[in-house]
Amino acid sequence: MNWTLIRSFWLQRLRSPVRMILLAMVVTFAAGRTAMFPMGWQLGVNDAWTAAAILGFGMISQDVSSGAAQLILVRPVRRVEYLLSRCAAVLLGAMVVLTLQLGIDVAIATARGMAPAASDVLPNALMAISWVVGVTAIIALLTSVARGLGDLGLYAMFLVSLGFFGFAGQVGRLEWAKWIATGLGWIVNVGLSTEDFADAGPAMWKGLLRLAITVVACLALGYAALRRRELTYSS
Amino acid sequence: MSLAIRAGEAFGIIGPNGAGKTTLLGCLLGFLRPDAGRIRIDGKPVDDPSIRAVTGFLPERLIFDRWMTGREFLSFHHALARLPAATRRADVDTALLRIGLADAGRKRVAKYSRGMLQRLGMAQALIGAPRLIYLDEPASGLDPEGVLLFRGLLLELKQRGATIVLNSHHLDEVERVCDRVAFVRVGKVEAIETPSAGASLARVLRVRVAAGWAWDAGGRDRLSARATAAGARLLDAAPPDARFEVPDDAGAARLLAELVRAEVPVIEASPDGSRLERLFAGAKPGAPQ
Repeated sequence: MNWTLIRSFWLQRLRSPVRMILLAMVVTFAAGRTAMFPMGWQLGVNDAWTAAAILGFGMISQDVSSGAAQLILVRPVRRVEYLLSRCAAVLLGAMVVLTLQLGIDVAIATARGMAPAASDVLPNALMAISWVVGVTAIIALLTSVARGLGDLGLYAMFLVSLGFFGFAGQVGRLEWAKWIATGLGWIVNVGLSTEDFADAGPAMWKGLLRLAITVVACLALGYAALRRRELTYSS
Repeated sequence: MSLAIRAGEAFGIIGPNGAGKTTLLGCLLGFLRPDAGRIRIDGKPVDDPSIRAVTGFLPERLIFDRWMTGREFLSFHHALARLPAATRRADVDTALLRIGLADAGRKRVAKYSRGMLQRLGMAQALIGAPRLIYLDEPASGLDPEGVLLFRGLLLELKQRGATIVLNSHHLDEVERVCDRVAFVRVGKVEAIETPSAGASLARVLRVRVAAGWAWDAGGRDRLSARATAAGARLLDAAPPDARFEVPDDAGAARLLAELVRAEVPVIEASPDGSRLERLFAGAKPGAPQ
């Protein structure tokens, strides 16, 4: 892990007006939602996904397109170190955003006289973390092969394909389409539910195993792609 | 493509557009993989961290991290080069001062002009006093002051024994700096020459004559006769210059002596194009080494 890369990534994201506005909107929207419905203080899958996505998309692909990656990789920085440092930066950054969001939401709910119990907050936070970890790993794979914000495009294609095959499988009763949709869903739906963590039963361990497999596979494939990737730098 | 660059030499790469110069540099830097063969630096792969630690690189395309300030950019590369944090501030200050950007260090890179970016890129390449430096079109976009500064930096690098690989279209710059030059064409090294090799090639000499010289037919005939006597040939003559073709450097000296002897008021003489230009323009380069 390279802290210079992690710090510079955070600084870059902090100075990106678009990303900061999006994050501020997400946190503000969640706070407004909790203010209106104090029972709904929990983080949702969408919150975790959005935080990871806003920070993560373009984490390497934009560097490659701009030529910044080439200047980094001419230094004594291995490609695996570069990839993992970027992932860690996204992961930690998203967790800070979600902690802030959860903190605000819990504070609002408490102020409205509906303070959640710690036993409710912890599983919800773990759920969000599991999603952030999974989504970050998927983005790491996509950003290793794409240019610019092409990783976002690839992810969108993935989701559209999932919807298409799922719909075709349901409506047309096509087994093969269902099978593809299930496979895609297995990859996209990487996180666990709050209930999984609350129960701490076999479903949680199964989910964690699935998450670990997805993360390891995405990072391994991402590294393999980045390692083989040729970087042009001329105009 | 087969070539060996010696430690401590300044090595130039020149060739027409599309010759493969940037591809060669990309391979040397480990950004591109050769289709076949291998590249070794001190016997190690190009992406070996110990090689990276002593490498500096100035790219042609100056799209740096535009959201950083110049100071942050240099500090970032100082840290990436794994140089001691204790000396970071002082090293960055020194680098900014050296390249004439001391007052612009707190400015965002996005607001830098092309010349300032070039200077910042040069400072970044020199962070940590690398032993091996790749420079891709380093003088492009520089103002005259910047060119002189850049020249001084290159001479400093040479004096401290750094190996310089210079890819440039400015042949006079390459000639001034490089110990050897590779001529690349269609992905092949056609020849490797020392710039002084051009001394034995025919060249064009531009001679400036003082005001008052008769540029009529008689005056031209006199110039032509003196040229023939010195083994040279008058190409054209129009006030205030006459251009001669001379067989080599010695021929140029003979021509000038002959003109002075004939009381032609010569006030200036300069080669029309550099030696490398002559080598590059189709003279017979030697075999690759």
